[in-house]
Amino acid sequence: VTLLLLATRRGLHDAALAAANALAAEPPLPAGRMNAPRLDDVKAWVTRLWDTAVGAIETAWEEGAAAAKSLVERFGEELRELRTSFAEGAAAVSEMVAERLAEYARNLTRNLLRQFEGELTLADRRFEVRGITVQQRIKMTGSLKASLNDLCSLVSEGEINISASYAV
Amino acid sequence: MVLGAIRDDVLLRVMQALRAIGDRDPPARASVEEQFRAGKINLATSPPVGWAVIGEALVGELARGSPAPAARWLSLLRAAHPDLAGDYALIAAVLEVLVLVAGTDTDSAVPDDLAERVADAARAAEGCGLVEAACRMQLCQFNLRAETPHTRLEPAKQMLRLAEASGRAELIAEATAAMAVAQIQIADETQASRLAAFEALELAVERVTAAEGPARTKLAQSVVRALAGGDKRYLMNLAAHLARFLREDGEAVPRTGGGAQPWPARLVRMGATDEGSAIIQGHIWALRHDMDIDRDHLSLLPSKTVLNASADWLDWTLSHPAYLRAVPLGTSFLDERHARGHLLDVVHEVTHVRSLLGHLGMALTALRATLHDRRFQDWTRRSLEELQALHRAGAKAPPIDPTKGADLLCTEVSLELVLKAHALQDAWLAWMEGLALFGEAAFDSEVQDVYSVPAILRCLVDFQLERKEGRALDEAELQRQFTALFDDVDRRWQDAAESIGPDRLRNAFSVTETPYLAGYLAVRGVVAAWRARLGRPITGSAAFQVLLFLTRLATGEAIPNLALRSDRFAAEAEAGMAAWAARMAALPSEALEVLLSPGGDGSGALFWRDGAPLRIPIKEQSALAEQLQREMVAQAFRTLTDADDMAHFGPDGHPHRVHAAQWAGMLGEAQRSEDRQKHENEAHERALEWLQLGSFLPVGQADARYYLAFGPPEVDSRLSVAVRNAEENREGTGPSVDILSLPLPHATAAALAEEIEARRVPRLQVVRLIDLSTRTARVPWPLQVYRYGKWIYAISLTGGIRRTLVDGSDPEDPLAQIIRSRLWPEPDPFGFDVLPQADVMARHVIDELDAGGETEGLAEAWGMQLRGQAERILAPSRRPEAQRSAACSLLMALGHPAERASTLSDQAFGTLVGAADRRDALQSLLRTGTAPCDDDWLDQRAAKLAAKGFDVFERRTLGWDVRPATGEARP
Repeated sequence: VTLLLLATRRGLHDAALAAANALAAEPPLPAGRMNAPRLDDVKAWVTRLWDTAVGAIETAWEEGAAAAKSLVERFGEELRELRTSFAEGAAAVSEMVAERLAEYARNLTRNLLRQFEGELTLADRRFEVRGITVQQRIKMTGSLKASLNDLCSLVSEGEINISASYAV
Repeated sequence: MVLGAIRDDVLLRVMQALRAIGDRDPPARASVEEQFRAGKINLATSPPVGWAVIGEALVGELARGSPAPAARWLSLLRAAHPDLAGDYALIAAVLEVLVLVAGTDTDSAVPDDLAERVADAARAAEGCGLVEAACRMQLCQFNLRAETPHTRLEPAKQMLRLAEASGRAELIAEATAAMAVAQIQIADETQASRLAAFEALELAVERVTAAEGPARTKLAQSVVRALAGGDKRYLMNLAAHLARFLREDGEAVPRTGGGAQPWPARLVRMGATDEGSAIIQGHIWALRHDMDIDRDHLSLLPSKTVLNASADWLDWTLSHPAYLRAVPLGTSFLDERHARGHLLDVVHEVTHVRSLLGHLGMALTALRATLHDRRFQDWTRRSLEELQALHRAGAKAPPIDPTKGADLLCTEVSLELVLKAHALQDAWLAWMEGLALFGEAAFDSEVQDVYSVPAILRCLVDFQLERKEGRALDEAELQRQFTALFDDVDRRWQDAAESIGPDRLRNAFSVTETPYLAGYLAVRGVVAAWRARLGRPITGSAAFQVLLFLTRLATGEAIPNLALRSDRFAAEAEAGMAAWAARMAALPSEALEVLLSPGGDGSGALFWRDGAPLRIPIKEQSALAEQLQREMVAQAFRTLTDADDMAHFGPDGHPHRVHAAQWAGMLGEAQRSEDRQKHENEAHERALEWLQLGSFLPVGQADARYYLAFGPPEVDSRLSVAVRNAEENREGTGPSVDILSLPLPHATAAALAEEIEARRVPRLQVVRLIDLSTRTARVPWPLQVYRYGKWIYAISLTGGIRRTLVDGSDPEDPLAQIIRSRLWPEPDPFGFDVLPQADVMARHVIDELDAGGETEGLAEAWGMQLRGQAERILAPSRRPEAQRSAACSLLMALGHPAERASTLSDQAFGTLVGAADRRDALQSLLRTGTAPCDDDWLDQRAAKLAAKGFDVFERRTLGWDVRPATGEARP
């Protein structure tokens, strides 16, 4: 059994963010007209929450989880505000933000694991992987704030711990 | 189906067609009948009526059960008239039908091709102008196809078309019922087929219930029978109407639901002694039920293709998904579900429309009017025979012969005009969008004149006087309520701007295909420069008013000569726009002071001449504007008339260039001819007409069910109408509807009643129209427009007083004509597309070049040139690239370094500002937009944002603001 550390890189974070943002892709505006881009309450709230969430993740990445704490708290406050001021759309907004967080996490871990080497060569002997266990847990639960907190912890550590078993 | 079941019907229709021939000339018919009876008829010389009489005799024999020698007569007819034209063709066609009928036992199945022969006879009848006979033949064909429902739609369509052309009410009712039966029978699970069935049934209900006597019962039964089986729940509210009428006619009614109250007719003619209020109450009651029908209809309509608000550069209309099927009425605009967003959308788009009612709009109109002239001339230079052939072939655009210089030149002029219009739009887009975004927060603007956006916004609500008990209704009370309503509009705007303003900026700045951020920062930079120059915190709203004025009436100096070739024109348009913005940023204090006091000393309206504001009388302004429009049209007319315009064909002396220059010279020479001067004048007049039409802004449209109680002159007539005023009500439970009861003057109601009886359609159209032209008032003025066929009625409710602006009784009323041209323009009578969309035109050019085959020499080079231009028009990336390039030039002209200008023009806000700082950046932009800010909050935010690369704020004496434009381009 070997304990491996897979380090996150900026490129992986950016790619994961792009994948999450792609969930919000919209058709292009009509050509040859002067447009006001479409915006409804759901889209406005999703963007507002997502900006804060991404701000927290980026801060965690650059300055550590502790520095991101205030943004995670702000995210929680905005969620509370969402429920009080836009109760009828809160579920839809939360679901869309959750989807983006999940897509970010999924994309980041998938690309991290791609770095993982399926075989090792030690002392001229080749070992093939038989199984792996990821040490960290990211809870994409009903609590968006908790999910964001977990994501911030993951990216702030800058690495993912994996136990892998190899055999000859 | 056996023939016996339908034989009599077929013979009846054949007889009717033959009778119709004879009825053309009754004396001739009587004479021929006499000859026939005497056995002295000479068929070789007999007119068609003679053959028709023989045909009738054959029908009689068949009806009596005798064998009829139809085949023999048919061959004799063919021998006598081998060409079989006109009435002879119809007689031959019905004889074909008789041959089939005569040759089939009544117990045998209907011959396979009988329906086709009847269809031939219907076409022949129409071909010789017998519309009613043709219609009845189509009905016969419809009946013959009873066992194959999918084949019944076409005869039903033809029948309805012919019936409407005949103007015969009973035929129209019958055809409409047949159409409903056909659509209901073929409706499946698809929404489109259900919508078609719904609309056909709705029309049938209208026309069948207006029929009289046994016909009504018979037709209603035929439609109700078609409703049996399958899931027809979506039609049941409509079917209830028919069921009620059947009950009234004493018929047993199958299950359709509906209450017991008799249904009112769409049009009730009241006598002098009738209880008008009871009739009107009945109408209101019926409209409440009609709301269910309306909801059913709405649920079947296809999804909207318009997803966002936008304004059109060319016709200055505003398109908004919320107002495609709803009309703001009363205060619905403030009460609908997404009112805050819609309000700011309208402010944004109204700013665009307002901006275009000036020099830029005039330039675009000049290009468009010239294009219209070119295209029109391209049609009219053809012979009548050629035009008729093109019409028959369904041509929408004139053909292009790639070997003819005249065709190539004419086509290139059209493409050039389109490319120049695009270039002008692309050059100004960033500025326009920046201004519109900035205007969204200008909620405390003074309503000073027709330029002001708040005045237009107020046109989205109607003042409804509240009569409170115990409070006198005097002038002061009226004024109080009036002011309260408009204060409410302003307050809602402020609330919207403050609550979702940051979200809207964020949303716009995330769009990369349009340079919103660059445009917004450019506009803000100009305002910051003014604040710095005057040393006082001009409010955002005051600055917005000035910017709007300058964009409308000071941009003429930035527009290049419209005669230039498109490539040079595009470069000069971009440079002109950027230099103009820099000049505006650098306006001297004196000019700014004049602009910031639009009321001035009352010596005239604000105008712009020779780079400075001045006041001149409005009449003089109009004359100057007209003169400018004339000059612009004259410039556009000179497109490709200069030898230098052909320089791209090769170096000096190159044969292609020489030859092409000759063509350009000929065009230039022709332009100076008297005839062309006449065309130029016409184009100028057309441009002025379009400018006038453009100053009537439609916001919202709906088809509304209605009832008319039409009284004698001494009794008030009433139009009751259910108008959808929002697709989503505040509770989010569905659309909301206003039921209105409008008193109509007698002449107005009489004109409407006449139209109702002629058309019998269950909905009229309602549009809200804002008059920005000062035609009806000195300020923007809202009109509610009602249209039913030729009838147009327009009222205004502003000020609590109902003003009838178009009373519907005079089709020649000038305002009615303007409204009709603006909202419901007549298509070209030949179906030609005189002013096509640019992409349609470009594709047509490519198709014609492809179809034209090989060319050589100049024709080949010119063809390649045209193809290149058409492909440029179609290239999806061309315009966004040009727009970003212009945005970058704009920022550079205002003092931004090239690298920053490029970044701000090309990249989304999300890539420029970290997610954690975006909210702060947006709030900082909005707060400083209102006025420069001097507080700790901005001290911290602006410095932090600058440190992170979003270095757009600067602290000056007045406080923090966007970095002022310097008016000096930096490397």
